[in-house]
Amino acid sequence: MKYIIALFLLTLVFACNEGSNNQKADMYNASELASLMRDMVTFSDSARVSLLSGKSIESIPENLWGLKTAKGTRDEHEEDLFQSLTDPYLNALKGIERGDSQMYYYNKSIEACVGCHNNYCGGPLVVINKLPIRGTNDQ
Amino acid sequence: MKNIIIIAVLSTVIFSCGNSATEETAVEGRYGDTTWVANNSITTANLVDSLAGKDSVFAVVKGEIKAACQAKGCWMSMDAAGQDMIVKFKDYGFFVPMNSAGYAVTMQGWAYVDTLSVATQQEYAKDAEKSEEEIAAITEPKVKLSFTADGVIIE
Repeated sequence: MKYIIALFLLTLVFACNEGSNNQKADMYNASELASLMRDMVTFSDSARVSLLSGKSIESIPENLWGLKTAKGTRDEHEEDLFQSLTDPYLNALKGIERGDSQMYYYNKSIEACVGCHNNYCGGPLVVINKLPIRGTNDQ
Repeated sequence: MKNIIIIAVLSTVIFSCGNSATEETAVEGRYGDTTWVANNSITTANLVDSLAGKDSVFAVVKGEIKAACQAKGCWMSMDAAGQDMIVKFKDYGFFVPMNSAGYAVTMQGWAYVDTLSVATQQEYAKDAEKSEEEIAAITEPKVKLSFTADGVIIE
């Protein structure tokens, strides 16, 4: 009986030791701001396709207007610099919404993204730099 | 009685560490595009030699992760013949675990020499949780060995 109890305890110890070698991955969970920016890229991608095929941008996802308040990974949304850098993007969205020069304001929105990512988190620039529509008359 | 104890032992083996990392959540794993063949890899030191006199080199490279971005896991660094090589991920398309430092890694992609601006270096320093003083001490652009990986295999 004693041997069986010892076997039980040893099994418990070794089973857990083996598991602890297999460290759990500490993966990034997207912040509210990071999720919003992914939506911005999705919107820009589809807006770009529309404009390049001669169509208008029909609508702007409602959540994009929340750029100033979405919580960032490092609480960037609380910084004055971040707040000032969101203005050009939101102004560009207003221009797109008015609908008179969507190509121009679309490019302005991408320019605003570049301006912000030159100051915060440059990683996404590799994606953003593919988004401008070049060689147009900006109309 | 014996049967009950045997069942208890087996149950312990199966369930005792039920909250340990599973294969899906472990640091070891594949991130990004890993459809390439990993068995013809070169070392980071070989990579430095291969890059001599060239703008860039496409290679499968094996080494050890020295540090990973502590904000998102959006970059990692490796030692390459005594110099620090920064590894970014293609199209910002995937991240690695933030606790992957010290693990072996094999990756495919392009190696090149890049000039990092002061702002970029400071961003990396923040990601690596360097002190305010260390971040403020970055005042000059720096030429640095860089790698853009299509995918990485962490072992």
